[in-house]
Amino acid sequence: MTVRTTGRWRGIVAVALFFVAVGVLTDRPAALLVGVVGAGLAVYPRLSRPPTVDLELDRRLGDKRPASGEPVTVTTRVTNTGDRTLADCRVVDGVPAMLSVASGSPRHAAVLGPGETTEFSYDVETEAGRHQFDPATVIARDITGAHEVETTVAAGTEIQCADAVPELPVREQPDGHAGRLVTDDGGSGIEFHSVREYRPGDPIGRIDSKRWARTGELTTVEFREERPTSVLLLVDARAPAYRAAADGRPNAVAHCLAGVEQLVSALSDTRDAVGLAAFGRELCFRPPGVGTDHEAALWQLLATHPAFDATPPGRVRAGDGGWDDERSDDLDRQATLLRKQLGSDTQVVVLSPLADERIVETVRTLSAAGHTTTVISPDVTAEESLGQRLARQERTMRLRALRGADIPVVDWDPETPLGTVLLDEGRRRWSA
Amino acid sequence: MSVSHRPTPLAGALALVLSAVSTAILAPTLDQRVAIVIALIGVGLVATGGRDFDLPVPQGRLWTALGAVLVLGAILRGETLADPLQSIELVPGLVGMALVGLGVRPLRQRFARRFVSAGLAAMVVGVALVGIFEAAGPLRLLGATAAAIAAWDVAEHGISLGEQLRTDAETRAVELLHTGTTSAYGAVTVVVALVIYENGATGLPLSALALLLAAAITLMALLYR
Amino acid sequence: MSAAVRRAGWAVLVAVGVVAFGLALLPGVATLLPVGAVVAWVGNDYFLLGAFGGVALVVLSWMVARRAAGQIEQAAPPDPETVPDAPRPGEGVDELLGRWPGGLSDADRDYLRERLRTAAVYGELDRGRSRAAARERVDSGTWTDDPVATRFLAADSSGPTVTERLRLALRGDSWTQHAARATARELADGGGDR
Repeated sequence: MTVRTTGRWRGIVAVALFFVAVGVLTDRPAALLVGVVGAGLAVYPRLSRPPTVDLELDRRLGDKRPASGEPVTVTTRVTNTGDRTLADCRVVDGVPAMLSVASGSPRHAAVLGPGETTEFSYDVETEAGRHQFDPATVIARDITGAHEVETTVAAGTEIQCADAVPELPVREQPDGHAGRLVTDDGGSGIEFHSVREYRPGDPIGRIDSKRWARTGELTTVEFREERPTSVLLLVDARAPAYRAAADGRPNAVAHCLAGVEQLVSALSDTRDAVGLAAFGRELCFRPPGVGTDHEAALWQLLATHPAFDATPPGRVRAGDGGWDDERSDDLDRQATLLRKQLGSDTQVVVLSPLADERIVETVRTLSAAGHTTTVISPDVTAEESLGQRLARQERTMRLRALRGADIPVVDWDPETPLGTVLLDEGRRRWSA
Repeated sequence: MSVSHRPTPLAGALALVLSAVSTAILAPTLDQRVAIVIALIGVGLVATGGRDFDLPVPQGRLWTALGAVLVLGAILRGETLADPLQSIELVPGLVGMALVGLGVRPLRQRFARRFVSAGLAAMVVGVALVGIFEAAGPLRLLGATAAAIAAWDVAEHGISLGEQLRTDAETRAVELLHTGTTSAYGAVTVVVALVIYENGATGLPLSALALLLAAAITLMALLYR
Repeated sequence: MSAAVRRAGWAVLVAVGVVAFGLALLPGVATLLPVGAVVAWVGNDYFLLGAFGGVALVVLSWMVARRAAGQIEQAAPPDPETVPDAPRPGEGVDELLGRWPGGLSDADRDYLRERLRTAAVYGELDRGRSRAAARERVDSGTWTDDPVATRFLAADSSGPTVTERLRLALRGDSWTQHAARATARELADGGGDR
């Protein structure tokens, strides 16, 4: 809360002084009298005090779970819960950072008596992921405009726009165990795999009764072997990763965050242990675990941890041409800390646009340390200028280098939903 | 839709109307009032130039040029009136209107407030000249000054609303309330001044006047925030 | 003068002014002041009042000057309508290549060279060569046909000749930018020696 005096009435008293001078110097008492009006209006701002702001904010969404690409109507209602009238109440709503306004205006001004409510609507474009609304900024002035109170009002609204990620094909580990990945030899498990001839000793419950009823054959259904694994989702949220393909498009870290939210949703439905980590402003690390408490903790981290911020850090142009003033030991330090705390049988899924060399080295080190690593990389490169074409080529070469080191990389075009991309990958690479 | 941080249109229009009222209070004859109306239309056309409106308001370079011609024509007419006193009543007020219009358009966002303050200065000078040369009665002078200051206040309010909320936000109620309150307060000060005048403020002995002036100037200097 | 002292002084002066105002309005009180003597000294009662007028004008001009120099203080709310912009990939290179040639520092030049070197080595690795072979090819310049690109990244490069530098300077270009541009073009087109 900031209280200011705007100073907009400063100098009006000069009008009064002017008339006093004129009246005295030209001997016109009527002019002298006009000084009274000037003085009266100069006293006007001193007659009022800064307003007390007591507001409540409430948002209603047209569609809480919209399909991607459709605009959602947001209706915001502001209520004055104080007992004095707010003569000049200006509100700027906190549209989520990665969403843009399609029509209408998120700004509004109103006169609010005690208990009164004002309402305004606007449409936002949706992007994949979960988006939290920021607190709305409120600027309240008194009737003269001489005092101004600036504060924020929060409401905790959320838009979730997700495409279903039906299955995350988890990689086969070197020792043959896999999460929900199909193993080639069908054994006991949960999912239907194939049918074979009945052998004496097979459990009765596994006889395919439908086939027996139809053809009289006795066959046993075999199921896939499934064992839960632990998966760590690692987001590259360092300054070099904040790159966008064009103005007004979400940056790569925003895409990675949307992707990680879908993956957390999908993995929480299974028996796998899920963990969350990020390199960036601060190291974030939550070891894999299961259960509703753990899941709630993961969502809490995604909502509040400073590393999971889709807004790019302030652009700092270092004088020596070194972009993104990132100290070279930050990543090393964070990566070392991470590796120390990581269990040896945890699979790591890295989400990164592969915008620089350091993350490639870090991923290779992780893989070399024995963790099964996969990379999902959103492509935010473009072809418009020489530098952009160079960056695209560099990224392609990094992809190939990682694949050459037996680290699979999912090259993800952010215009298509992550779920579709992973399904295709699973079908192509890991179907049994 | 080009949305911008320009002054909000309703406040701008109200400011222009108030400055026209201030000039009209000073200039009572029909000829002058016609010139004022023409100038108001011209300034209105200039002020709406370059913006997008939902209402069918004429926009575009041609209309802006026409508006400028109207304003200049009215000022010229004011200068060439037969009675030089009538010119004095009219021309500074018209110039003030034009400056407020340029500030509300605005000609330059950075100088919007300065233009509006310059408009107030022009109108105040006009009132002073009328007071000096015509030995006019107090009501005209008081009313014109109060209206001029109210015009300046409403214009600055519109500028600040535009800067903070942009022109596509809904701000009508606030602008109307602010204009009404400032105008009402101005009217009250006019009444108070008249009451003081009626109660023989002109018959003060020299010493009392001197002390009064000294005290008044000191207080006014202290009033600067 | 601290704020509290200043405010107290202001309040005292206001009180004095109001009292003087009131005294002036009370009949008979003001005549106690030695106004007659002052008028005799100044010469005319108009001059006395004129002096006040002059003081008023001075204070007035001081106020106008201060107001003209001052700023309105008001809140600046955030811009929620658009997505905060992030730079494009490769924008750093574009900016360095487009800068006025004198504005490139040594660190900038080293950055460009290192970045392009790494990309060239990666390109060679891509073609199946080993790390050592790739580095050797870039150092010796056999990774591409383009002579400028070769010279830019070669390890023992002697840099440009004087005539070349002059020619480029006349065109408003610097050797580093020219060579970096050629090298980047080679790399971006997936180029290099097939």
